Amino acid sequence: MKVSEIQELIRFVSKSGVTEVEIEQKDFKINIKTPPYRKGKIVDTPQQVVTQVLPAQVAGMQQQAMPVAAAPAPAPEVKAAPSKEESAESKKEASYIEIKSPMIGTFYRKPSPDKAEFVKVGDTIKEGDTVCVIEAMKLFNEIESEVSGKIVKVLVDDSTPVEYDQVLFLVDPAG
Amino acid sequence: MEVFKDLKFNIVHLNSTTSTNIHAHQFVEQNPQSEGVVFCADFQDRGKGQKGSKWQSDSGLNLLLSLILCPQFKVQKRFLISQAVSLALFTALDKLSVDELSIKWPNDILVGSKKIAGVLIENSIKGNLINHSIVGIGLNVNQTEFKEMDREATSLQLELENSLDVKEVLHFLLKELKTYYSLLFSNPNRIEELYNAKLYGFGVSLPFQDENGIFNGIIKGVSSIGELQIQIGEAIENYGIKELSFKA
Repeated sequence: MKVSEIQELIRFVSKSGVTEVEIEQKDFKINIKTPPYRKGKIVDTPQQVVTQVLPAQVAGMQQQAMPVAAAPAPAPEVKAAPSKEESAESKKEASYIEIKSPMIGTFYRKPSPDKAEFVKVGDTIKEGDTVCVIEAMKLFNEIESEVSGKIVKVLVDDSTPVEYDQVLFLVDPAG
Repeated sequence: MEVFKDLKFNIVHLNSTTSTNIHAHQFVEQNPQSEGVVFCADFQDRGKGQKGSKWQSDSGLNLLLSLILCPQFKVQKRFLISQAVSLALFTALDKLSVDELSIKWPNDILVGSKKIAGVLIENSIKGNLINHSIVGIGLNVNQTEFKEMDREATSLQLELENSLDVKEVLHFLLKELKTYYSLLFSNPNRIEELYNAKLYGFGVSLPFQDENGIFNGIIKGVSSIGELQIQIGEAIENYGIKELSFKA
């Protein structure tokens, strides 16, 4: 196998979403593994927004190149899910409404790095309020809430990639 | 039935050169049905500069505007708006006889390898629908000196060797925006075709960089959500904006 072929193969495997490929020929064997969490690629020169790296979240992405200027952000406010709580608590959680991402892109909690967050845990929001911005292909998409209620959970960290349909916030409509 | 959307402009001239997108933002919050409203930053007309005094600010030399659109598009079609705006800019500059134009993915306008115009679009999304889009456009008109960091920039004056009336350029551009906005509804496939054909690097082998290093590939077009499609060897890969940079 030529070096260029190996390079191309690596590129193909890493883009495909496959986590491991092993090829064995007569006198040749290659094994390509990709990190389990492959979102969040090389960050292009940040233009509008300072990219922040959240220490708690990078565990699975340590192989990616981080921007030189990246600074650790304050710990996320998200509280741990009360998994061992009584069934009353889980019932309550079941009544929460999810705000999902309508597209793949980068999730921003602030209109700009020096401004306050659109919403934080405990805030009461009404239908039509902007809850975040998702940037995709240089389009800045302000996401408006379709529900009224209280933000009980923020599930994604600022400046990190999100997938289509990924849950961003939990809202308690009774809040 | 022919789908037709006729854009009527209302131009608001601002007495400052601050962000027109912010003004447009505030306005559309108060007036949801404001399609076609254009906020235009203060600029100096041609006469002022020729009376011997130097230009006071660089931004006053250029065209900076924000246009409010309410296409009621599904979220999935968001990139089409960006493509239509890029084509309008491209066509306006082409008609002004600027040579070597191309659209650098996703929406910069280049002359050769130098940037002459840029676009910043802010969408407001609720559910699966784009409520409104604020299209911010910056076009270098009469600026002839650029800071070191903007070395790779040019202007209409530099390209045409003649200063232009910013107001005339504005109306020239609005005419094309109207045309391509209408085409967005009547023939969106045509928008995609035209956009692809005008892409910087379309069909030629160029060096790029992704997370695995530098490689050569051929730009084949963009996907419906705006990812760049690059042919690498036999395969075609889709790239998002943060996954790829141009090395040339």
